[in-house]
Amino acid sequence: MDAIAATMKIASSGLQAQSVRVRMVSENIANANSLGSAPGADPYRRKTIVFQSEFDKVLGADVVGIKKIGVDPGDFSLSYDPSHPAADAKGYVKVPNVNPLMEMTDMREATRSYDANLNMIEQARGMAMSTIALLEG
Amino acid sequence: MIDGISLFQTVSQKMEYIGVRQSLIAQNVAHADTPGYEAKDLKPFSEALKTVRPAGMLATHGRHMVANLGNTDFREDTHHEGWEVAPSGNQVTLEEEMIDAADNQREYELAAQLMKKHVTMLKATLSTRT
Repeated sequence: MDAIAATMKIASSGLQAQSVRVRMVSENIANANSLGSAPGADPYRRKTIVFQSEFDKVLGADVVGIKKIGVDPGDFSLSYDPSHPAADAKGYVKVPNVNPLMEMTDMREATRSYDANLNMIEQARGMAMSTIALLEG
Repeated sequence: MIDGISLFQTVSQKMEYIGVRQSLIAQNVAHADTPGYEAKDLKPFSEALKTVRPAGMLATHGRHMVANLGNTDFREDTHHEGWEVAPSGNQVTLEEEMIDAADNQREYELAAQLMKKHVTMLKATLSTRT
């Protein structure tokens, strides 16, 4: 496969990985208030994503893959709400370990990387176009 | 066939080099958030050029075989040092890669234009044969 086509494939693997990352972020934000339903039950646990590089035999290059989607082992904080069904004997409810500020930062970073990959595709396309332009005139 | 003319050969090698470099830059950008990833780059083209035109053997007999010396394996620059290393061990700096990519694209444009100009010159030569 020629290098310019490979460039586009590699960059698209980056696009895909970053979009999965944004999906995880939105899952975390959407569930920032998902509490348990039984007394003392655990609420939603923040999800994390780790990328890894995978060798693609067809392209002869390293593309990005998802190593694992894990959970953040951080502690839950407690909020006092005795009337809630998930409240324990003392009246405390466990709250998800999602920090909206952290999620927003993560999302911005993912968007930035996504844009960079998109930029690479655009440039590769520009190069392919100038090669095709050699046929003109 | 037009490879026989040395400028065409050099320019097409250059375009190939830029293509390979572009795919490495894309690889770096795609791995901007992969822990432990080391940024890659090629050695400069001037160095690749040395391996492109090695002293070849002449075919002075019909049964001599001339090795295809077109070198497409441009050497990776193993001493490439990026701007910074992230705490996760990732060596990619997006800004650096964007600059490299823009540079690369400019050079590609130059090579393509050179190629085009040269074709025009050839055409001009041919069109004098009336």
